[in-house]
Amino acid sequence: MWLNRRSDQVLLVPVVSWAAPANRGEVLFLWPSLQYCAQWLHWLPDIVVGDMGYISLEEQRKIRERLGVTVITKLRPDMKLIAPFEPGPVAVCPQGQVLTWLGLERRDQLHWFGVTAVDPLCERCWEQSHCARQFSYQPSAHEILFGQIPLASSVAKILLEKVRPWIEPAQSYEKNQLGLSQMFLNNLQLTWAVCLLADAAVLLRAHAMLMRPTCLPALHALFPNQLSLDLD
Amino acid sequence: MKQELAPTGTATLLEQISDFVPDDFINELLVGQRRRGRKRHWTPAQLYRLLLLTMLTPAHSFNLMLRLLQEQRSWRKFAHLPNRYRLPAASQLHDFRDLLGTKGLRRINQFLLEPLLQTLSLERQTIGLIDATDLPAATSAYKKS
Repeated sequence: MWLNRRSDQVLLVPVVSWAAPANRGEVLFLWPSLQYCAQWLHWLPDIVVGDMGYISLEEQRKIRERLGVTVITKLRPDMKLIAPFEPGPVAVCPQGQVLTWLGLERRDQLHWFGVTAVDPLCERCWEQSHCARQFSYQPSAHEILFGQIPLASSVAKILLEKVRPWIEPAQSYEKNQLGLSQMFLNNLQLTWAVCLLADAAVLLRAHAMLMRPTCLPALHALFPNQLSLDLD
Repeated sequence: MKQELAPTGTATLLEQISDFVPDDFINELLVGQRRRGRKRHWTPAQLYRLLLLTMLTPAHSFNLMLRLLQEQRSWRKFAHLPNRYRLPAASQLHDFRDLLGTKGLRRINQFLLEPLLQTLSLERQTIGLIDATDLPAATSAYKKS
């Protein structure tokens, strides 16, 4: 999870970790992770950004409808685009004018797309007399392309291109600096234990970065300290 | 408060994070779970700190860490083990890890996470990232499908 309080640096902390054999698909862990957050932490992220391994339209629909969490993933290469999207993906009207996502109307559960270009094709369009220049689509039409935040929106693009890669150095820290990849792991129970210990180490670092210790001993101020010998 | 952290593996980092280890919570977590047998010399918090040392020091093995513990004062200070000649054995650490289990480790992480969740800015949307990574295991079973 991205601790968004700080604006001068990006700080990620682990919320839920699973250790599983390599023959288990990643898609199995998205729903249990969110359920764990809801049940044990009484908290859910607003948006979850994943890679293509997490694509399951049914699962994403369940997460959107039951938990209200937005899942953003890239479209798998073998998935086909549906109207109003063209490769990019970019939303366009039936006549080819590029549309901008205006927002999700929560009450009606409708995504609204409209023309916001400075010099649109609409002036020359033969349908302009009866075109409202705004189009609505249901999120359930395609969970990845629409969902709660459409893949064609600038928000989704920023999250996928700029935010998602942050997880790589976070994983690298646990694997290389905390030594997860150097440990001799010969059973799943041990793997679970060391993964959770690595998470604890990251959480402790986050505490040290963000907060002063809250549980100092009562006589902490009186503890002896080594004096520095200033010879200048 | 922003605080620069020392590199991972250094004694300074151990000092910087030591105050944040929830010793009381860990000790309370295992109250009543004492097994039969000889009296335990070490508190759960001490043993948990030893487990953490395998992550926070260059000794990424429980046995190696225990072997080096005698000559590493800063490590013993972090684990609240003042006596260099009286240290837990590998079997005790192993038993403690079993006793704590995944559930216990998760509870501790949850305890550490809760105050961080409270610091989240309410005006901004919260973003979670999900990803999988491979760890080399000493088994040839369960290949990637």
